[in-house]
Parts: sequence; structure tokens; C-alpha cells
Amino acid sequence: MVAKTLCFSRDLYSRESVKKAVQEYQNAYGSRIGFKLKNSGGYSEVAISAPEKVGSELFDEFSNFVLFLNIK
Amino acid sequence: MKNKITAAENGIIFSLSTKIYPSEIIYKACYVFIDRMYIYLDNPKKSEIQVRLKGKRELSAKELEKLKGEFSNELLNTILRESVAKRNQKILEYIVGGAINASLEKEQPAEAKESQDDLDIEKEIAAIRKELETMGSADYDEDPLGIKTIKLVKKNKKKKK
Repeated sequence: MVAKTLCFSRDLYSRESVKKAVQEYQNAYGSRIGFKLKNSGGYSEVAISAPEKVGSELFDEFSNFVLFLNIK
Repeated sequence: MKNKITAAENGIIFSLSTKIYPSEIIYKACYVFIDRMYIYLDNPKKSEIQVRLKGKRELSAKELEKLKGEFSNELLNTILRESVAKRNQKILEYIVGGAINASLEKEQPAEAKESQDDLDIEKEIAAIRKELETMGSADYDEDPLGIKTIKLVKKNKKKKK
């Protein structure tokens, strides 16, 4: 398993875009990937755990997806 | 714009002042690059946005510097486009407004023609109605077209033969 916590500043990334990204990924990957969303200070924290074969690019792709939703 | 190359993470980090580059401008530039690299934004200070660009494939320090240069150019490009759009907004509004007005003026004569056509049709309908009314009031025994008399003449001729 690989795990990582991504922090998104709430001044730059809206809470809705982070939530939406988590929902979309959950719909796409189902129970294979675990997500835990938490608010901490001025950040939205997303703890992600995934099987190793999924690859570490998943975290980067997820982050880009949040940014994309935020811009849209 | 100081930058820090993080070879281990295959990325480059630099900070932008929000006084020079508003967050909207940074978002727009990010949107242009989002398919080419991974972009992380953070704001460690109030008037500063930290940008981390990470290559989708392994990149050398030179390539990372180049990416940063392209990103910076895109920022300037976006700022310029925004200011031109703001400056020309009023002109654009006038042009669009004028075009809409012109098209509305063109439509009005067509409407007038349509109403004239409607009047003509109504007149025709009224004339047909009148004709039908006169036909309806005619008595069968009156025989205005003389059909009855023609038939009687023919019958008499046959009898004589």
C-alpha cells in the first residue's frame, strides 16, 4: 500500500472542489482507494491510501484534478 | 521570483507576488499548463503564492528551468490579454449592441409585411363567406342557373320523337 496526505490551502482551493474531486475518484476507483478528508487550520487535508500497483502518479493526478475543478 | 529546483521530486518551486500576479491570472496560466505538468499551489504568506511545477516525466534541471520560463511567459501573456479585454470591453459592448439593434430593425418590416398578408387573407375569407351566404339563401325552386328548364326541354323533345 502507498499512502500520502495532500494539503490544499483553502485560500487557493475551494472546499467544494476538493470534495468533488474525492467523490469523483471514489466513483471511479470504488473501494480500491481510501480517502479521508479533514479540515486542518487553513488547509483541506486529503489522506489517500492506494495499492502499490496504482502508482504514485495517482497523488499528482488527483492534485491536478482538484486544481482543474477549482479553475472551472 | 526566486526558484528552487528539487531534483528528488523532479520539480521546481518559485514564489509569485499576488500584487503583480493576481490569483486569477495564476489560475489561468495553470490551466494552460495543466496537461503538461503537475502543478501545486500554496500560500505561505498573504501576498505570495508558491508554485511547484512537477514534470510528468523525468526532467533535467535545464528542462525544469525552461518550463518555469514558459510558465512565467504565460503569466505575462494572460495579464496582457486580461488588460486588453478590460480596455476593449466597452467597445465590444457597443459593437454587439449595435449589431443587435440593426438586426431588430431589419426584422420589423418583415413583421409589417406579415400583418398586411394577414389582412389580405381576412378580406378574402370575408368575401368567400359573403358568397356562401348568398348561395345559401338562394331557393332551390328559383333555379337561378336554369338547370330545371333545360332538363324539361330535353324531356319534351324525347316525348315528341
